Amino acid sequence: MMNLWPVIGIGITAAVLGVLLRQYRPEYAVFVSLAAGVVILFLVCTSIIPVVEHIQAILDMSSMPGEYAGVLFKALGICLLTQVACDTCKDAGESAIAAKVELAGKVAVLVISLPLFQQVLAVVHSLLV
Amino acid sequence: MGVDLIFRIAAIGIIVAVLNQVLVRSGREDQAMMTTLAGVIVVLMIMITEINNLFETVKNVFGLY
Repeated sequence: MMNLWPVIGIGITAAVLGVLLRQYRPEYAVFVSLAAGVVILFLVCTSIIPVVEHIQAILDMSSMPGEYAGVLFKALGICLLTQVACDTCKDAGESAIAAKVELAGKVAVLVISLPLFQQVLAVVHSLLV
Repeated sequence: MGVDLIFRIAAIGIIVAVLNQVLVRSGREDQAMMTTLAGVIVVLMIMITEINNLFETVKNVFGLY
């Protein structure tokens, strides 16, 4: 059981404080929502460690090479970090910057998974020739 | 770390808003702007350390190097 109640409490508290602050100083509302996002993601990351270890163990039992799972987890981490930055930009009303950050995340995931594409193509090539 | 961080940032925001009002009413707009800027920088410094913390955690958990 992950620590769900702290996450709920932090989320609601931050939402209320954000609404309160938005009337007086809108820039602090962005900070409050960013802080809440960071804290919640931190909690999620600490409770996702056992899941990652389990998946790693299951993949070790199968005959798949370990680098595939590594690529998977790397892509997941990049997606998480990009989502934080992208959502913060969107909350601040800068959807153009958010789109660029998203593009950067996509490119990073693509760069990480290119070796796998190459291996798939090599398998196809060996089957055809 | 935890909900204290959010309370701290919200408290800084409220204090800066009150200071801003007081300074504007007493006719010191330039100092009010400086106070706002200082508050934003303080909160930004707090957030930078926390974001660094989060990035390190994500790096360690998901094996990003």
